[in-house]
Amino acid sequence: MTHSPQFSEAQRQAADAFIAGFAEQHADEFIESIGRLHQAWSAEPPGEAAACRLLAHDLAGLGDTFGFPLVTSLCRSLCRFLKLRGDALAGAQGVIAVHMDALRLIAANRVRGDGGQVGREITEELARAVLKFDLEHAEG
Amino acid sequence: MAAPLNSLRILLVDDTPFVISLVRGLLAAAGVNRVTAARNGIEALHLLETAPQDVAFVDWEMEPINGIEFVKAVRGPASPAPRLPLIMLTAHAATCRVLEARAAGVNEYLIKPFTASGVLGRLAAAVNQPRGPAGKRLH
Repeated sequence: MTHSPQFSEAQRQAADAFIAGFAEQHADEFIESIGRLHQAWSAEPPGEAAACRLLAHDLAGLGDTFGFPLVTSLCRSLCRFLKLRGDALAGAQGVIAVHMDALRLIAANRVRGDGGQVGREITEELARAVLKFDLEHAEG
Repeated sequence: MAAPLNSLRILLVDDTPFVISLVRGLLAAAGVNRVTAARNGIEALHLLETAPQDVAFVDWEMEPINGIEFVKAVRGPASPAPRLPLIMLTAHAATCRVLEARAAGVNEYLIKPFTASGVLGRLAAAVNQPRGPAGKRLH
């Protein structure tokens, strides 16, 4: 019979403890990386959408880990618009700005978890902005 | 018999220093210390030519070549390690992405956020139950 090695429960717990400690220790750097995305997009001339999308994609992947799930959901949504090109990208400036403002608010207030009332307001405003964009750009 | 997991040589291919530090640290916490990092796919391919690895964790979004292009290069005819188990570690959660990765030759697919169970579980699966390029378990 072939023996299939597995990690023990103790190893998993040690690794989980490391992740929790890392997230706590590096929360400030994570917040700073949100600021870098906002600065890149707001710069004159504005940062390239492709480069900003990579930053947003990284933030989407790390937000949950660092205790900022709103950053994950916002950046996932933002990536959809930063993928656009040409006129389509130009037409998405408004909805992108809503995402960027929301990220700046989350970073400034360190909105962790679901963010309570502030989180609900951010989520609702974002949903309205995305719906408005979708309605304006619906085919037919 | 499969090699003890703690002795595995792990290659991390990711352009985000945060992710490298995080995965390296959580592996070390679990006793896996033979970890090498590459900042992109090109650097990783060069590294594989001189330093054999047992498993690689690969990010999707990288430049100058992305994770899928790296996977295809590893599975290609000029590869120094065509059978290297590959674990895609990414924020892309859509089914079409998983299928694309499988078709390219990824063995395991892990969607962020990071959990110890996710990373360690996929690592053990990649070693114990390798998949072929089409995603089918080889044993």
